Amino acid sequence: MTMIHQPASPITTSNATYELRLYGASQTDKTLVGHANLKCINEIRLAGPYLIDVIDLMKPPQLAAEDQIIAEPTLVGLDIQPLRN
Amino acid sequence: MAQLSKAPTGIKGLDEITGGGLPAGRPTLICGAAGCGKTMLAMEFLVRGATEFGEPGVFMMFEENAEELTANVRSLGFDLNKLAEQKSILLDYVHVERSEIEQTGAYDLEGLFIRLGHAIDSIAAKRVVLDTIEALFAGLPDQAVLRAELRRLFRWLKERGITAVITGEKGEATITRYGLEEYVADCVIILDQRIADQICTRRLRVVKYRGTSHGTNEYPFIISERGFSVLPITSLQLDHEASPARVPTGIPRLDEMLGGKGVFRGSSVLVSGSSGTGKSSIGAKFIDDACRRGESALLFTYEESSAQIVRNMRSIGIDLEPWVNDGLLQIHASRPTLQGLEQHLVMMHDAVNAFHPSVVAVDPISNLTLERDDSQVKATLMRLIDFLKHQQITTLFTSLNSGGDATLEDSQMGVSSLMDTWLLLRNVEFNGERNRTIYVLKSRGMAHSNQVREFVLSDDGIDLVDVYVGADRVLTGTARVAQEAHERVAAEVGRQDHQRKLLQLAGKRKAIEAQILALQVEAESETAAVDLAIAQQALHDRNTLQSTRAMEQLRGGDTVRNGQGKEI
Repeated sequence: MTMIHQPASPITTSNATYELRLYGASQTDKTLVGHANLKCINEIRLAGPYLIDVIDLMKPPQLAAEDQIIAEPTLVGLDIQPLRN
Repeated sequence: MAQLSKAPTGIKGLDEITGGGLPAGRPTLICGAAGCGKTMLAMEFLVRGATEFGEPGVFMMFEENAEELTANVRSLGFDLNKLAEQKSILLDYVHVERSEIEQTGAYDLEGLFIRLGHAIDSIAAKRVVLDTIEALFAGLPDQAVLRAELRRLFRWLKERGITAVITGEKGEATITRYGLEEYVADCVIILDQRIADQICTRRLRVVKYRGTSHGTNEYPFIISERGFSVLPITSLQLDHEASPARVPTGIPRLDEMLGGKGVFRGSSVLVSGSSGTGKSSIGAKFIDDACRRGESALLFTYEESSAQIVRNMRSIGIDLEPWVNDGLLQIHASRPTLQGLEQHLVMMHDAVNAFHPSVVAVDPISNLTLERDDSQVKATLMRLIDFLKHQQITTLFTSLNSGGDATLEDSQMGVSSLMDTWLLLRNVEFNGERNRTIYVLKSRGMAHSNQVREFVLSDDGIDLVDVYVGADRVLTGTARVAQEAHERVAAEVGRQDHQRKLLQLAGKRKAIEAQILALQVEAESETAAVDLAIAQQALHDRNTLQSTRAMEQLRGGDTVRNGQGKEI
């Protein structure tokens, strides 16, 4: 799984809610595993509430270009520093 | 077996080298060091595909963004914004920034596939450029994943029947830095940029082309405002047509020396001589005459600027300016040291292709070859000459011979064997002055004069005059004029002498005639005397006979008989 930190994105969470986007290509194994792992990590490590937006790249395919996604699955944190593995 | 189908690049020289273009439906790798023109080549392939062959294309870039690229290729005359609006080209900038990416666990590049697939579908693209996919190696740390994914990407492109161009940076020991050639094995083209004597020459080589024959040499190319241009390999064939039509040289007496009609159309003429022998003037006259006939002409000059040529040629009555203004004549003036010989030739090639002239003059070709290896020069010149012959363009090259008179016939480039007609100009120094002479050293396929002519430049233009060839020497200039005057006097004296002799002879004859008359008169009087004598004798005889008979009668004797007993 790759993760992208986008400092250019507008800050949407002022009340310390972590807003995360997980990009995946349909329901592949890697996406499902990634999603499960992410939930697990968030429950343990994150202090505040979080929001995971799972986006299927196949449905609106232009999103891959707009959000500069090349790898799958990719997690984009909208207002956080990149996570270390 | 069916020929491998090819996607033409629209870059003329390249299509000739590859026998029709890049392999259709397969990926091609273009690699080279930084700044050697990889992106330009890839872009031209895409733009020409969209504009000339009706094949839309996707340009996926990893290093520059769309705005930067659009600005960069505008200098080549490509308007990407317009093409993007027409949906014939799609630019897609993939942003990969190592510092923004963390990786964990398993992942693949499906996102890129989806993205490319979507771009291809949205304009029904047939061509794809990935410039340069190596940026992924820098952006994504896991090379094992990347390599597996690249393999999948190229297979996927092949399955979709996409003609792809992948650019790659030149590596230390390998063709590309990250070994892309392992994945893209159908066609590999290397671009190279080399400096020799501080002059840079760009070269292109097709290293590999599966399933087809291709030119394997290095071919020089340039990137100009008309885009990419590769000097093609027409010299591999020697099959150009030979026209029987003749082109006058602009100097009537010279045409006279060349079988009365000038040189063959599409042939090459070399005018060589040391400095100041009038080579450029012959070139200018040739150009001027072509324009006068309404044919277009192209003049490459490496010594004088175009304004200087126009001014200087006016002094011998050749005005080139109207032709330039009418668009019949184009003058390309540049310094030979501007670029290497190959690049000059590519440039000439380009100019000829754009202008389609019927005659070309290069003044002088020797400047292009300064301090160059002869064999290389010959090969490149041969390409140019063959190309011009193929186009049925009559070409005049001037060449400066350095050194003394002894080496005049040594064409310093060894190109004389490539020339159909060779005019040699030489200075004759004699009697305190220097005069120009011209002769036809060779002219293939026509009877040509073996005479040396004096070559005279005046306000009225160029003219050729017979030289004085005496018993022991050739005279030119004032010596010739003096000799001619001398001969005129001598001829006059001779004529008068002859007249006098004739008169003398006539008098003598008349005297003889008078003598003949006198003798005739004498003869006639002699004849008369003879007649008189005969008559007198006869009269005498008759009288004698009569008196004898009278006596006989008087005597009454016998009849006197003669010897036969007959009566008289």
